[in-house]
Amino acid sequence: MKKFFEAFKKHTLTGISYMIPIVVAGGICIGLARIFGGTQFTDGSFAYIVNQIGSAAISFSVPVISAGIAFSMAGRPGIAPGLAIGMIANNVSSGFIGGLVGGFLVGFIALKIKENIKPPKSMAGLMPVFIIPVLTTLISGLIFYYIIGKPLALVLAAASNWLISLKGASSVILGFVIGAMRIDMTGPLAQAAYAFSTACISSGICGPMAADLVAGMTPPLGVALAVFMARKRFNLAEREAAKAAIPLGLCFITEGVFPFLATDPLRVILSCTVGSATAGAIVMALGVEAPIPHGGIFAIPFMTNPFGFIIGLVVGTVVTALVLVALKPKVSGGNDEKEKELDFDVNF
Amino acid sequence: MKIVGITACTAGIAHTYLVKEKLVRAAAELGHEVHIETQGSIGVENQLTPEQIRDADIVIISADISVSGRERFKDKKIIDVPMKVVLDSPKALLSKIEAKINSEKSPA
Repeated sequence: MKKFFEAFKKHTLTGISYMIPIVVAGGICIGLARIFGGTQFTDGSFAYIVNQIGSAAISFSVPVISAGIAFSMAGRPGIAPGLAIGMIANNVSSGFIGGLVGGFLVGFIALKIKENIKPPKSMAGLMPVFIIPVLTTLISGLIFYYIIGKPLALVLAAASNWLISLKGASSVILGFVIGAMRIDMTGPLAQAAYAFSTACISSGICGPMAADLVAGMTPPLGVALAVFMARKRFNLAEREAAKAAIPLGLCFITEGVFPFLATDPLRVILSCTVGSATAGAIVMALGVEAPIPHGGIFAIPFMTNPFGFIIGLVVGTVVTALVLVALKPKVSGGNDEKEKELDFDVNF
Repeated sequence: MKIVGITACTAGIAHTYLVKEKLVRAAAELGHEVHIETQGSIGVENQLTPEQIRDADIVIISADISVSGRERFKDKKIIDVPMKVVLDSPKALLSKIEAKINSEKSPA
């Protein structure tokens, strides 16, 4: 069971990995168009063209994730049918969820075809160019149209409606939870929150992404602020790391907090989680929406209610810093980067 | 011990290089030779040469996503390590790997 989960995670993250650049490119272009031309574009204007560019790019988000998943499972032969099934998933209105399922379906079918259909050597070239693409696309497409497409569309609609209906206290709790899931510092929980937020974007729900973005920025910024507030409580390596943590945090690279985790894991994790959860809650409460899954400070101009985001960011950073300073002993404890105990079976 | 490896994370811009750095530093401190290829969002960097692969005692693959080019290691000992494990305890990991390799060399 664990192996299945590991494989599922790996294929999904591979898909997301290929999807991120296209959603950022498309989302920023659309955002730029909004900045130039408001929400209604006059046909043929510059803003209209930029919006067309962005829309073209972003229409690939679901096909690319399907292709990425299929590629992860079946190698190159998975790419073409994966792209097709992603487009089909969009056509039957099953969105991101359809793309996810479709990607795994295509990957599975392509693998089975590779294993079970063995043409004679002279026709081996037909496999990747003809047999696999045709059979995989046709079979998975038929399954989508006749069997799973509509149910998946219903699931997506139900999930989207539920998320959109979250108002007031519930959306604040969601923001809090997304922020709190940063507790494992870019580990599986944080990745799940990120994947969830990214998925929401492809269904037009951009609130969770705002919470996720702010929650990923406050740890390095908060810890850097803590170092500047109380230098004596940090050692030389940490003071150096704080300088790098600021640009990293501003760019949504949470990893800027890692050097601090190495020397003082518990206090850093606690203060960062509190700050992230707070920031996530604030940002959802203020109705901030982030239409792109990365970019940090560069994404702010493209958000709905950017000032709300800045408020959440500042408050979360300050909370993180205050909690960390309060927890830290008055003088720095030393220089050792402690390794955690190794809990891993070495097998090869 | 001669090590080659590949790192690759989801966003492809941070962990990929951090994990490589941890492996390189830990290996240097323990006196091992190490070559790590990164497969980030920008593409493949520091691609492993066939000689490096041929001479390696162990292939370490630390990635959240699927890595490409696994066929290069078809006759080698490969170990898949979660990125978190490398970040938390790189030296302990390398020592444990070395111990296992040595115990396999000497008929116990």
